[in-house]
Amino acid sequence: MGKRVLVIDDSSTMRKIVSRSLRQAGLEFDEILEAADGQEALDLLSTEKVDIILSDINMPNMDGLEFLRQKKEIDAIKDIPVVMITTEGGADIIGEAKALGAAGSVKKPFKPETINEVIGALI
Amino acid sequence: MAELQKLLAEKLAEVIDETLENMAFISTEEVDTAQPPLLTEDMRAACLLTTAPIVMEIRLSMAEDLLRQIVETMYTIDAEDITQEQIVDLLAETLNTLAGRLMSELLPADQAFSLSLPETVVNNLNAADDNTIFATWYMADGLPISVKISAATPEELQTCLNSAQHIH
Repeated sequence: MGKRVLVIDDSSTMRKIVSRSLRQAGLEFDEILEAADGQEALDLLSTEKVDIILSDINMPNMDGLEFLRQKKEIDAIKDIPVVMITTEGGADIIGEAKALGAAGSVKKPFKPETINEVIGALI
Repeated sequence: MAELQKLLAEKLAEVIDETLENMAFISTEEVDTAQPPLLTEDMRAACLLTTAPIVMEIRLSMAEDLLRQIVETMYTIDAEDITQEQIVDLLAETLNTLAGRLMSELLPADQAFSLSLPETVVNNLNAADDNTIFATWYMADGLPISVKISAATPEELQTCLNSAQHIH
């Protein structure tokens, strides 16, 4: 099976931008899956396998930090790398995400080259 | 206050151009604030609050035709298939990204900040607001964009910027 990525963001616009950036960055994924929040992502991951996850932090229902918290308790998915895509500032929120297992972070707005740099190193 | 406005003008021009360039491949041009554009377009507006370390409201208004144009390209769909949800989502995400970049530019590098979720609001570009500390216009593809920043206590912002050594 080819590589699959899951993009988690409550904004359909941002999910489109991330998908477009992944293609423009030359990263070859066979499938880009989408979820609108952390809970939807956990539901999807109970049946679908992905190689990497890109997640927003600030989302209604279940935010990106809570998603990381719950994901690391689930054996089947705890090792999937997660890159946080965020507008939130400061080392503390990124530090908290990393402490919860995030493999990296990208700040919005981003260029495809940035996505390539961060994601390319993880897949 | 003049120094504050000059700094906001400079930083906002940078971040709105960067935001729209990266999100939608669109460049923006600053408009002389003494001669705001004559509005012949329907405008859509959204606002959010910066909730820490200072409370400010940032309001973004964009011409609906500009939003439609971006949605059409982004989703690769025909104009008649564009939904209100797509337009509102684009406006909200543009504001969210813009606000995050602006705060990153204004505050010290290690300063945490937080933003509320964006909300769409009734467009009231001509309404007087005593708390407005900065308002400006840009044009993108010949269509208007307005950004307005309000704060009940602008001195808090000034103090923050002083600590970030932007203003002396």
